[in-house]
Amino acid sequence: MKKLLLLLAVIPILLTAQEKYTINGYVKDAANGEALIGATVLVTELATGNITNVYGFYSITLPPGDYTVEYRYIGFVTQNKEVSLSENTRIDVELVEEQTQLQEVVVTARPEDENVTSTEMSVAALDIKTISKIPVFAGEIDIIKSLQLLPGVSTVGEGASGFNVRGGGVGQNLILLDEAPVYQSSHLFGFFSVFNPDAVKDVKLYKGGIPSRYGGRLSSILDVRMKEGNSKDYDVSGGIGTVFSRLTVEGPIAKDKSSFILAGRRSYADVPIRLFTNALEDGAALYFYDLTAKTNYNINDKNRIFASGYFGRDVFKFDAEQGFNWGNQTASIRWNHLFNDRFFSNFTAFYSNYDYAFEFGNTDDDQFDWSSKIQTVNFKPQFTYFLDQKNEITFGGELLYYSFFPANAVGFSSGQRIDLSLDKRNALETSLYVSNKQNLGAEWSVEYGVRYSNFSNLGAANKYIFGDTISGQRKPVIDTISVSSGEAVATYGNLEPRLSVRYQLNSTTSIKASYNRMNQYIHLVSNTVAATPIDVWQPSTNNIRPQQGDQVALGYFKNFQNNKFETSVETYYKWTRNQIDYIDGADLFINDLLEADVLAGIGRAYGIEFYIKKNTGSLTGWISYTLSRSELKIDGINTGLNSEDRTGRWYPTRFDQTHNLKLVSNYRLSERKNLAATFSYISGTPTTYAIDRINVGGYAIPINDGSRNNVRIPDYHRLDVSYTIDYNKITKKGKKRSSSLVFSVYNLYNRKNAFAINFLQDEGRVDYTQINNLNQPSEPVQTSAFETGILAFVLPSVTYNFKF
Amino acid sequence: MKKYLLYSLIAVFGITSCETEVDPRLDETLNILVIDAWLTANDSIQHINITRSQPYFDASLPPKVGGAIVTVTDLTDLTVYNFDERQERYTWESPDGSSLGVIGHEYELSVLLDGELYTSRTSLNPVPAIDSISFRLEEGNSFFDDLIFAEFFATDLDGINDTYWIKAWKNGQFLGEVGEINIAYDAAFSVDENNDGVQFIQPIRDGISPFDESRDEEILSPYNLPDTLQLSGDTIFYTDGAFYGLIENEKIMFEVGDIYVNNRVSEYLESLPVNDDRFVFLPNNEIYLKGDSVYVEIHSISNEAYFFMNQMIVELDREAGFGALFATPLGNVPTNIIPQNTDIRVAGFFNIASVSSRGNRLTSEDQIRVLD
Repeated sequence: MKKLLLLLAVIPILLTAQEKYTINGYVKDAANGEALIGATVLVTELATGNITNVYGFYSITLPPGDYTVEYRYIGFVTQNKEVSLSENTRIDVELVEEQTQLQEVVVTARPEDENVTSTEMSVAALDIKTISKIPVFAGEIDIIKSLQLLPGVSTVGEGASGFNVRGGGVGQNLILLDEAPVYQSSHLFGFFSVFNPDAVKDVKLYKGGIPSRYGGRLSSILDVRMKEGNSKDYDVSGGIGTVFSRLTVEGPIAKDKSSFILAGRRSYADVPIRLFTNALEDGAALYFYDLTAKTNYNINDKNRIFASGYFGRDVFKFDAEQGFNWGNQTASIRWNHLFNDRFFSNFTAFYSNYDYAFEFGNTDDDQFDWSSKIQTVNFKPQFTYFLDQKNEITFGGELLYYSFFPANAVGFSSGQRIDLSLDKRNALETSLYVSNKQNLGAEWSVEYGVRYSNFSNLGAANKYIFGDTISGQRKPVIDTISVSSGEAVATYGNLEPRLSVRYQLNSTTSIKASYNRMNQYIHLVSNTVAATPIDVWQPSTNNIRPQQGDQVALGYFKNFQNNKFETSVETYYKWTRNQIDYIDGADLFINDLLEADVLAGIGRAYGIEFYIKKNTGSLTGWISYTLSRSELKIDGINTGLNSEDRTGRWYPTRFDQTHNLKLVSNYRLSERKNLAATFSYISGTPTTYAIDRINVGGYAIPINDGSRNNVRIPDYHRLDVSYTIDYNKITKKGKKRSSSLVFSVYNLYNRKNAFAINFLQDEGRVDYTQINNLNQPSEPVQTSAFETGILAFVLPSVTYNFKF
Repeated sequence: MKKYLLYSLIAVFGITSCETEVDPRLDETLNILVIDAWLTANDSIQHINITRSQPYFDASLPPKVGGAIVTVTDLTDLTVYNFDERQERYTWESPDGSSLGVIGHEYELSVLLDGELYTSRTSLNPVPAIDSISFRLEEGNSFFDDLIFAEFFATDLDGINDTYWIKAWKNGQFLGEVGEINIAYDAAFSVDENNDGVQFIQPIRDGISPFDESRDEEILSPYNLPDTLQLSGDTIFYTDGAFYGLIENEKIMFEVGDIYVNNRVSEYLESLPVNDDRFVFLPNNEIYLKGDSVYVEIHSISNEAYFFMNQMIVELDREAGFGALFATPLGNVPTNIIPQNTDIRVAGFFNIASVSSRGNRLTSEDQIRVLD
């Protein structure tokens, strides 16, 4: 392993001999000092350059000579610097926003042709300016809802937490907020995401071709970067909406040296309820809130530190003593250090926690408290070595320590204490990686790397050995081994190769291909129709093996009319192993023997994604269409009627959507008025239908022929529109004040979209005698099917946003 | 536990969801043989239903499958109990009023139908006595008024893996709604040594209290004290003027919740004859209404039967509306009936239960425990 890493690091060095010097520095926004992520730094003479990293840093190494260096970022005035390179040179640049910006709606703040020229593929990048043009729900903009408008990203419907990427489960996405993992990305069951858009600077979703610096999940990496805070001036911004209000304060602590941002949101569904009814007396409550804070300090040219934190919670109480709540907390500290002009490093340490808790019962004698959480602490050093203008080497490591508290459940029943708690489990995940981004002339570029990951499920814990049984039935425990602290219940190690290749046909066209292998050691345990906040994370054990997946992707990228139109077609195929599902009747909560109810099998997902985007003009927007399939094959599931060996047949996952079409458009009516519309058309998701009912013990129980997800609910479509009026004013002191009013209508034509179809025995008590054990109702039980719609109505709303 | 969660979620997010009855086209009926044999060690008449599965939306009682030879054999003392085919089901009737079954013995059900043999084995397990049934006041909050719960007290038998089905009757009405199915694994819901040999935990003890809603969707108290009612013409009122019920055709119809009558949900839980002993007609058009009665039985069931019922609840207790978010995929309930010819699929269950029982009636406020 070590040899391999060494070799990878050494190859590019062997290729260089000539004396060279480095130009490096940071690129920032002149208005607020925010680092610009992905700004292009171009050496005009050589038509080569680099792109700033997530901290706004760039480094270019060249032979001595006179050069013109061009700093470009869309929406900003391009700056040229003449450099006479005879020694290493530091150039920090602040770019000024273009004044024409008001006329020209800009849908991307990335380099115009990044989609074609970069080696990356299968990336959905949205900057906050784009997101802010699309009010997605209740007049509010939202990061995850916006991502769902891009190809390959979907959800099973309103009310579903999280999102699905290229046929992967919700638990297969790694969501990072300033490098710290966020385990639950939704407020109010997915109606909103946990990220306050006012505090977010940049969002990037890797669906494929995932660089080796990321790992730990099978499907995707969502990398969310928070703003650093205005280092020039104080800003107060916020909004008053139908569902919640937002307030953000940011400003310099020491001008150009240190700044902070503090952003909060709170929903107030409970405020009107409390004003107009007494439905929420006795301490009853219903709301969510989140608080995002970040500060940074520029120690000197070579050192900068950042500290950021997030705290969010959804709270529901039905009186002062009873209720439930859930939320994430993260804290991260990062240190950017420049070892030398070409050697950038970042060290991150973070803490992340997700927990939920229920409280029932209003006396000390009779109550039940149940909570569950997952905690992570991590240390993550990362190094980038800008070897020369052709090679950029990234390497580093990661050390993650997990603590799982699957259930702390204590009940008092008539004063008698009953402890149903499950033992805490610990695990250690470590990884090492190296990758090189290499330019092989104007046409070819390649990024290759490898990641080695290792996972240990640590004691003290019980290690269960299960006996064999028919697939699909609860496995019997045949032995329980007590593993002491410091020993491992199970250890796994895996090598993950990664590769992306770009071949540029001409300045506007390229073909890209990628391959990645991913391993996932922790599993989101969920067998409900949609992921929910009460799903529990489970580490790999001797019985539950790590999930593993391979993905290949091929894409064609072409821009037209000077990057006015961006188009791409990407196709992918994924093979996955150790995909988990559950036996019928599985008990997923407060079950020490959960492993006995887990089944494992293989999966495959494939699809083709089309994307056309118009970047400039008064009409902007995009069309995204994905044709895809996502299937699993697990013994014990979808076995058919008379299958003796219980061999599973392929079945579509709950989030398999054949067609997924999204139209996003934004029309600039005038300098101040903007009209936006979003249309979605999605194939109905699979569900399992009953065929017959059987009469047992007087109940009418649905049964089918042993198939899973054998039918589809009706297709989904919806149109949302919004109308925004901007008010801009320059105060006498020259300060810009702006505000806007957003009128939006969700589900304009009142489509009753189905979320699920369920088969139910009608509610109510059957008039049924059990005299002499007849076990038969005197009247037959009614059974029917119901279609559930979540938010299947027109929802108008108004939001007022301000900034001064 | 999940149920509590669901109820509270539905209370909050219910407004965001809606449900519509739909009529999807289902596949051709599977016509699977169903053997439904829940016997007890207490009754001198026992029944076994043999039917076939019917299309899911076919709301009729499935007809008996005739021509089967049905026996239950005590494998310990080799007694054979023959179940005779009668009009609607197969029945064993004790010649001397004794019951079927000895605790600790193992039993085999055998059904021979059209030349195919179906068998199942189970053993008759013991059951703990019910020590008492008491009433408890739960003070109201923003979601409901004061409620009177009935609660039974019994202690799980020593040793893990005892499984029970607790059945309850209110005023003689079996509480058979899906949400009222009350099963226990030792004293709680799962294998855990902490739950062995202790008093049944509260959700199980409280499981004998029905939750019905009034016409205004207010949660009604599971049990009520005696009351004096006022008769005005054919209508009966509470003393505070609220509607209680009607007298129609010599019957008192009163609203307590939902019930199926003639294939539709009716608002009347019960209609009792005017001369039922719950009502005492007093002078001045007053009616004395006796307090509610509760009757509880604990049935011992096999572990397999517990898991069967556990999954049956999952399959039956589905929610339309917001609760649908928490629904698991539809699966087939297990069976312990084994066909000799493994190409044939069969459904149903065989269990023999021993039964303990106790009753109580709420007659005075002194019976109600008030928690501080």
